[in-house]
Amino acid sequence: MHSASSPGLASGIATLILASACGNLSNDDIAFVEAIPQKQQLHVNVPQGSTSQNLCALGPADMFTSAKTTGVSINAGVDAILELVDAIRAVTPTSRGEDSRTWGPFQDRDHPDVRIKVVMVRELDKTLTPWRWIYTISGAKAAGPFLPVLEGEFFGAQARNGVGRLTMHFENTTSLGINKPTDPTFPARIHYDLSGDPHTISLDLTAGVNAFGLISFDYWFAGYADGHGQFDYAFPDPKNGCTNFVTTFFNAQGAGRDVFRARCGAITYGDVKQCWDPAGCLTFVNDPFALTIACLGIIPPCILGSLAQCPAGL
Amino acid sequence: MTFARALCAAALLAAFPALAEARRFALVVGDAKGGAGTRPLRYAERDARRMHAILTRLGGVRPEDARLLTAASADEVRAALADLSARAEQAKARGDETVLLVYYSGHAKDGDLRLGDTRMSLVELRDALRNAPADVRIGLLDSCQSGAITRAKGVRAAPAFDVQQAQAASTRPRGLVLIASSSADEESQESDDIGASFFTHYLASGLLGDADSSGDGKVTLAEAYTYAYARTVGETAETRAGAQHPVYLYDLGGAGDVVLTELAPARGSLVFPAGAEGVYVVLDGSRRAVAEVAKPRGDQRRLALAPGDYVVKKRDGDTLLVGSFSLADAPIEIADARLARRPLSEDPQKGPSGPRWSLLATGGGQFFFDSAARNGLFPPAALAGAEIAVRDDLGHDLAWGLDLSVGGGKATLTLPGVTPIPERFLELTGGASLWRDFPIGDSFTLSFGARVAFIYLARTFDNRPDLPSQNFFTLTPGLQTAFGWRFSERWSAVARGRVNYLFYNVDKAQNLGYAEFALGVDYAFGF
Repeated sequence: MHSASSPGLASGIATLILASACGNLSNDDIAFVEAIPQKQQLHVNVPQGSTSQNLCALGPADMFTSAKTTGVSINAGVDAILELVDAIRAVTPTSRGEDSRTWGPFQDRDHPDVRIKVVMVRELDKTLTPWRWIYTISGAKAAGPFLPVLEGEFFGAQARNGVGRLTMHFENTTSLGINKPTDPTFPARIHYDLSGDPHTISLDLTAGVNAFGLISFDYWFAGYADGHGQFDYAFPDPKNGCTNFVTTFFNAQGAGRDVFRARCGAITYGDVKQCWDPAGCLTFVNDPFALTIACLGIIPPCILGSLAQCPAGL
Repeated sequence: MTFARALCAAALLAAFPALAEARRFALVVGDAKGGAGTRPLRYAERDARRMHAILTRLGGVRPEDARLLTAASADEVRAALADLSARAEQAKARGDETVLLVYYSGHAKDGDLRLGDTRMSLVELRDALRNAPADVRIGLLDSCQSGAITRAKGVRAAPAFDVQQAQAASTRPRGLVLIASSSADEESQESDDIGASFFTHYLASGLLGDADSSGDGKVTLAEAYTYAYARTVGETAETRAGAQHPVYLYDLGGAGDVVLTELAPARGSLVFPAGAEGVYVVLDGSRRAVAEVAKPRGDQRRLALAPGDYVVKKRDGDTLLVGSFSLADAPIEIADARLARRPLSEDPQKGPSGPRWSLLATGGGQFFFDSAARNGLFPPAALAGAEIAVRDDLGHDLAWGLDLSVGGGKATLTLPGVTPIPERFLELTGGASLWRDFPIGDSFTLSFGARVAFIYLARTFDNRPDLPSQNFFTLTPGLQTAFGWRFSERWSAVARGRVNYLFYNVDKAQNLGYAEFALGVDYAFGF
């Protein structure tokens, strides 16, 4: 009896020791989380410049003002998309594979009839270094199939200096009933390249008409480490019913220049060129069609200021 | 019983006063500490309590006439002695026969009793006893070099009183008897095996009945001394300190001996029949020795023990005979046939001193052997902790302890292609240990043992609030060793090392090992 019970006791102790191990202390979890972009990493950062535009000789740089407001709208859209991704960070994975993590399925807090599942997979190169990360957030209503809500792909080791893309399937959030009233109903795509200088971020809203207060356009932003950058955007001009397509260049101090075209119905006018100083005041305008506020009442072509007043290097 | 002994017993019964006829006073002093230059004694106070219990239960000393002093100062002893002397004088004035007995267990050195940091000279004690108003004054000293108290006159390192000479007198005994556990140049020894000083243990065993060689149910001073002398010398002959020889000063006038204990009033007793033979050790409910019976074949012996549960054991070759008995009013016969045979490893006798508690404060570190595990998961940590330990509770030189440590530190998590991530981690660990001490000389101890612990780790990323905090908990078995150096009575310096096994299962199943090193100081609460 004695000799028979000892192995059983030892086995029991060993089982207890093995079973007692618990927690979420994981380097790999951190590695997975590091591959997920954060909101602020994908934000458009347009210099705010000065607000004393009423004192400008040639008038305020209204195009640059629209760049800032458009940037705010883009950031709101990015935040709406990454909100779901951010939720992953705070939650311990439900299961772990050697190169995968799964969260859920669990009930959506605001929509109890919807189950949410997140799967993240990594691929390793020959040196066992991760080079590609794929993640999918999907949702299912009742016993229905899981529909992708967000798909992402990332190349690199950490989002802050890698290349990736995200597709937010607002058409599926709509069908699942988990969308917000202000959300679009078509896919929105984000592409980002944070691997070098500049960092580039694009928000592609060409799959639909309007989203986040923005019109259908492939918005593109490039920001350099020294603060200067480029921003391509579009916005409707309520004064004349035209749509402006703008390419803006700016420096860290807020001075800049832009080139834009205005599409009014079937006719496109352009190119209009403007420069402004850090105070947000126009320093040069070349408006062949006198479309801009600064050229109101002037017989085209409208040329104001001096080209030499444009910021150097842009 | 031999014819001579029977005759002697009959004579004593006729000549000596019964216990009830004399008013007896007892001062019992036990002090473990002897001040500077001495090591604390483990059993002095326990010895005193044993003697106090025997004297009040079997020795005819009324509880109100007994004083038990432990950890008392010399002045407190003087005061108690003066108080009892005064009471004895009052009793004597009323016509009572009076006996004053002083028992002391503790340190003695350079002619002084050491009572903590105070002293009382042997000469002072002897003179106090000599001048005490009681008819018979008895001093029983169990301390090193206590034989010096008998130097004044009549010292006789001999096995027994000359009872026959005393019997020749016609009156009751009067005078002074001093008995010391060792001679003036000897150490009195304690024994971890029996959990007492040798002398007191055998004196107590004798007083409980094993010294009743006459078989008359009374243990006289002569019987007790003869018994204690023989057993003490015999049992200490093989010790490292060498044989210990009790001595006595005998200055009794009048007739005969003094009865120290009377077995008859005892409600129950363990009776060892004539057929029993060998050394029987009686353990109390806490498995510590309370008496021994060295039993020759042919005599019957009786131990007048207090009611209670006892275990009797007897070594028989390579095995033990063990039996449990519940003693009440009726005597219980202890025969080998009633004892169960057990292997020596199942000796029921515990570490004799009782649990010895100590508190260890440590500071040290922890280090995982696997370099990958050290990367962020289990970085080297600094730990500060405390351990409460209990020695001689589960067995001689066995100890167990409970420990708790907290610590942590800062580290950097390095992942391929990822900017290093600073982290701060907290660790809490605690466990239960069981180990064995191996004393090396008087001051050093080496120990080896095992431990089962828990470990809890939590880490946060200070500069990265976006990263979630993480934690891990598990049980970790391990081995430990320690080296201790006792640099004062109660304080020791300890260096300790542990190796532990840890099963990690979050990223993947891994068997990990780690070491802990600590330095600390240990404070012993008791001896």
